[in-house]
Amino acid sequence: MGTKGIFGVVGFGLAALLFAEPASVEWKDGERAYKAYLVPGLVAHFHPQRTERSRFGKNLAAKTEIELPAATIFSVPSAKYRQVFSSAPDRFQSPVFSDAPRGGNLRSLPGGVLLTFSEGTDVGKWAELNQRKFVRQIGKGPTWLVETPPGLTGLETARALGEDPAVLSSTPNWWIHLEPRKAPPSSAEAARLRRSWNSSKP
Amino acid sequence: MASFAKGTGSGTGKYLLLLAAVAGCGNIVSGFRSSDPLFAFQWHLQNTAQLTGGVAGEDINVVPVWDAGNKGESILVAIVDDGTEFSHPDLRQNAASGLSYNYLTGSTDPGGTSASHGTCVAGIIGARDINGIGIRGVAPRSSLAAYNMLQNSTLANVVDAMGRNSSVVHVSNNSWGPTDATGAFTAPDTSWETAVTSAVTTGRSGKGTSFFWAAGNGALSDSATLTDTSNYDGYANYWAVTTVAAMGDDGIVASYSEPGANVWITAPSEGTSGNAIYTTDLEGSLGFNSSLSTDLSDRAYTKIFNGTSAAAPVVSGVAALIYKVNSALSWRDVRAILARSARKNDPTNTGWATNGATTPYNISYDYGFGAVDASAATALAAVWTPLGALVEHAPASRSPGLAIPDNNAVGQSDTITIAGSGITSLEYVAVTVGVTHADWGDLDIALLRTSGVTTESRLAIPHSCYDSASLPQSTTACTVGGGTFRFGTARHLGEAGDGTWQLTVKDRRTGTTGTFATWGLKLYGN
Repeated sequence: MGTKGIFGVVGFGLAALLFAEPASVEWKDGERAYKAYLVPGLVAHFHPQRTERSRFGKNLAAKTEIELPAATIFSVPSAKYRQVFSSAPDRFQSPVFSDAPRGGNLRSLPGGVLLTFSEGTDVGKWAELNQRKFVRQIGKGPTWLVETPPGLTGLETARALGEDPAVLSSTPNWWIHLEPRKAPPSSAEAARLRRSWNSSKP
Repeated sequence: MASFAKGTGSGTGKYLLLLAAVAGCGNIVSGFRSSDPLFAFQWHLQNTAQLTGGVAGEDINVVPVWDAGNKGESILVAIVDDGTEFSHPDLRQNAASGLSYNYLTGSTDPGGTSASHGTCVAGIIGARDINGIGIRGVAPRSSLAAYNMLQNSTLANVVDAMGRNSSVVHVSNNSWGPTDATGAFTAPDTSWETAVTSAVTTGRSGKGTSFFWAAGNGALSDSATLTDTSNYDGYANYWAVTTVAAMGDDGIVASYSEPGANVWITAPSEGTSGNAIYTTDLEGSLGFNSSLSTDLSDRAYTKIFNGTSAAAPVVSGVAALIYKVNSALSWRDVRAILARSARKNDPTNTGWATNGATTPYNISYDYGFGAVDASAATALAAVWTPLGALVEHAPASRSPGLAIPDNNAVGQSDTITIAGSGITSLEYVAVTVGVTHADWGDLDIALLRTSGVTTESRLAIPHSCYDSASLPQSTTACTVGGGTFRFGTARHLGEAGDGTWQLTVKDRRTGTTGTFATWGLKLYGN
């Protein structure tokens, strides 16, 4: 797919910068519909080698916002944001989205689709027929991770495979920003200022 | 001892040698406990006010459980985190062979070489006892597995980590979540909910895995207002997880610990005194104990691990001790035992209330049902009658479509009357609220069960949100994708499902306005 969809969303995203209304994408996970909002300027890179990700960022004069063993989230100068997806597409990159129009948790598309098949489906035959490659089975049930490249391809593939009658659920394999619960030091001043729920009642 | 705690590294080392020698003679701690030299400082296990600011007795009362011969032997605890160094000398004996998983390499080495958080969590749960080194865990003979999901947090890996080895995992510790202190309403993906539900219903031959969850550390992002509550965290407020808050060594809630109607229980971590949790750390200088001169001289351990990250594994360890008493217990039994056996800490706190259960529970937004008590919990487990089969009841949702008056103390309310639910004793209530409003930070949302004793579950209060995508953070409206959010409350534990339930939505700040569109309940009980 990919490039047309990427250009579409990014173009929308640049317009969003002007009109302060972020572009959004939609998908389903099980029966539930979800929506996420483009965060203009943020780009995720999922090359397994950190050095390759650093090279990508350096080429764009991008600032590293989140550095993880499997992904880096860059803040790309606005003048170069469109360039990220339009010139010499890098197969490891993806736009970054937020769960809410403002201030939501971040997510991106590292590649892959989670498929849950209906009972009795011969998944081997299904993969062969649909020319899809399984990365691995998830758990012991009928859920499999199907390979796609990073970026919006995963979103579009999930949408398309969700139409298959053998598929119960089809959802993108999102990267989700999750963190260890590291705490700031507790202090007497902070404790004094803490408001209990009772005292904050209207 | 206080001066030692703040002393230099070299001073600490000398003191430890002296302490170990004295302890070996049985003068400081008795019997077998003396062979773990840092045990004397693990106030969360036995608080004798050994550290400045601590209050004797504000601990988890676990020593009598060990003395009775229960150390969690053969109970498997999975640590879902950023990695765990199982080559650590205080952990290696308790590592379950072949059951860990590395989501970066596909190997069974859970990748602890650069990830210290999971190593700290592991020590709290199950550092080996009586081995002449370091510390001891709450369940020091339990078996540990670790999955480094946080190093590669794709949905596939998150889902996998919830259900991996669920046929044999008794306890899953989860000291992680969405970014803290943003005030954002964060919903998990349905696939995560499905995976957790599957593990509690089919794991361990239907008895289920117990999921313990850190409540969150974002209560005071700007040191002045309550920003984040655990209510807004769709992972920590899910019905199938047990959420853990943090208190200090004085028994008082930690300033960062997020309150919420979903909070189940409280466990020790760093509080006002600044005394945090002693635990294992990465060997060498890559962990929490890196360059801080006030930390321990032995860099394989740290005394600065804190947060609800430290509180959750304390309860996971206690759960392992409960399962050791009776491994046939279901995860629901264990959760109920923890609630009924919890201690009412900080008893003069005005936030305590009692609910409408036949035998009422003490309830608190800060503490849940109270502080975990290992001795009381294991004693109760020994005589526990298993709960009846789980009943789920979801009455028809409502669509009131009421305009919410701006900056108004009354707001809008709607009721659902339930009859014939088949639930005489609630275990949890999920509340789905749909509001069209540009800033959910204006809202005050509360659920009341008004039949008999009125029990309140406060689900949201006015607050600011912070944009996690912008650095430095700036305040922003609290927006909710799709305009619907699922909350959860533990506060109705033991009450009947039948009765009148009222949801009130108020807009308490001037500015944007909205509509109370929909709401629904899902009751879990027996």
